[in-house]
Amino acid sequence: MTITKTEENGRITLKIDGWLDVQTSQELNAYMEKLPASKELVFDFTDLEYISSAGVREVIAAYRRQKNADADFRVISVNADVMDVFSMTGIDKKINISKNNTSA
Amino acid sequence: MTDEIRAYPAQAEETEKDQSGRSLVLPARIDEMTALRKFLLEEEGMTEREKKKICLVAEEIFVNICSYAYNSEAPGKVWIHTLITDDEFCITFADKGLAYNPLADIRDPENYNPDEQIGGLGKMMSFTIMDRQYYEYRNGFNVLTLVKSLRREQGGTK
Repeated sequence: MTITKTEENGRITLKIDGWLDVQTSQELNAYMEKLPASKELVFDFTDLEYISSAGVREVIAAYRRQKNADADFRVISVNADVMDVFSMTGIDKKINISKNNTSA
Repeated sequence: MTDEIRAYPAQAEETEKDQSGRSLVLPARIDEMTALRKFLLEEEGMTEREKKKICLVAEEIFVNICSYAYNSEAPGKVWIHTLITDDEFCITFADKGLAYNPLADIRDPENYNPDEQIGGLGKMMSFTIMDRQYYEYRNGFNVLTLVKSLRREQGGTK
């Protein structure tokens, strides 16, 4: 897994590539702890191939972090396999998750 | 589920592959997930999409065993057996840890609320993906067998 950060007008985008599993989700967790607050946080999953429940938990943690700070959070460019995982937990109905890149 | 799979934990001592499926024995450590994933991705007879879903399920079960089955400092073992037939994939996990039935207390995805809870996700996902689940505590082993229809994947999204 790799994380690439971009920042623009108070919006932080983390492009997370590869496999987000029980091991790499710990890396994302450590990264998030050091990430400064932002009024908008975007997870770009364009090149995320796999997500497990550990990865989903990190997405939920990011969602909660932003919500508690009255800030925005969304997940964009999710492929069909990863979207399946979100759908089966039902959190795609609670968190702003989109298949298409709408960040522009 | 065949008698052979039911008897699996007592028989399997090392990695093997034969007509009755494939077997793997790993220390119950989370870093061994890499070896388990490699083993599953080498499985023949499934699409890449199916393999990813099996990896998701396997990760959940394996991590759960690593985290809770053994309370001694030295990790115990996890026995894994897979079997593919024409239309089904079957995976069995066995451990000699504390008796625990993971099929109990499975949450309904419809009622999951990320604002209120964060636990139980993996188990809920695993049992959504798989079509049948069996648990038994036998001869000192927790034996969990999960079956997924491969036909359904070809035309559906489960």
